[in-house]
Amino acid sequence: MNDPRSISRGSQADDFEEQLKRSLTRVEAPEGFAARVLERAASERAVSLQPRFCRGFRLGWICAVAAILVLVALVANQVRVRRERARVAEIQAQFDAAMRATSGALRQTRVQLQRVGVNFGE
Amino acid sequence: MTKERIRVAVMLIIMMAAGAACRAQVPQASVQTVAAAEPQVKDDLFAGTEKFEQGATDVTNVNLDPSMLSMVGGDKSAVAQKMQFVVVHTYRYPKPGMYKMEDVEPYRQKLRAGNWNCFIHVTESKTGQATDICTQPAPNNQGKDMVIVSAEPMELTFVHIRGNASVADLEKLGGIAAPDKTPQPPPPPPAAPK
Repeated sequence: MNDPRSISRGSQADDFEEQLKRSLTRVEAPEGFAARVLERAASERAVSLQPRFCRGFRLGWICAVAAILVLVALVANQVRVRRERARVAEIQAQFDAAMRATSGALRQTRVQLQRVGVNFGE
Repeated sequence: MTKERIRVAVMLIIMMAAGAACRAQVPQASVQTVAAAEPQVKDDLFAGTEKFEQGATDVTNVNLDPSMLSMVGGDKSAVAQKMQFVVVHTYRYPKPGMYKMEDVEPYRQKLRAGNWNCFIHVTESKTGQATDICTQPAPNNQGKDMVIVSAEPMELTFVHIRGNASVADLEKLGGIAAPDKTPQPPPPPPAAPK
């Protein structure tokens, strides 16, 4: 019962148990620790997952602007074509009016000459 | 959400700016029919005929240069291609006496004083109408110049055409066919009574 070796083993187990308790005891973080950690995380540059050539550019913006410019070019071409057609129609109308006026004057002359027996235009 | 709104606003601004630039580039064509907005051909022969517009109910001013005549299509394109330019001024009035015949005389004087061959001068004393048709060779072998000055009681017409179009071409284009020149066989004699 009073074996010195058994007493020594018991005290060693108690010491180990005490050490273990001290090691696993909750230790509160120092004041401001959480704020420092968050601040450091925000200041560090995030690792970008974009390809190297897109870094610094907004690819979506470029595509959107390019699409708008293409659309505007198509609309401008349509407007130009319509204006050209209107211009051609206007010229045709002017030519027709000129020829009607000219032939009217010639007709009057022909009628007047035929009254005196002159055939105009033959 | 704020970035999306900014993106949409910027896109709208770009579209509006592009549309404004596009409209500025497209020339504003005249939509006046039967009236040239700006003269294409400088015709000194009939300069000053604008005074006859006073009192006129219908005014027609046509001024077509070679580039515009090349746009004439259809069956009239062949004759239009023969012309270098076409200048026509027509004034119609609601009643006789709205213009002075002596105001037309200076233009006839121009034709008589120059190198014009005025082979037709018709005057009708009853109605007071007069028509002059003159031609002269056009410069640079461009055919001939033809001028028609027709003064009727209620209508005044000035025509100046340069090119190789004939009188028959002009009449045909105006919708008035030239007289049939093909010789017709004589009609058969009536049958003798029995």
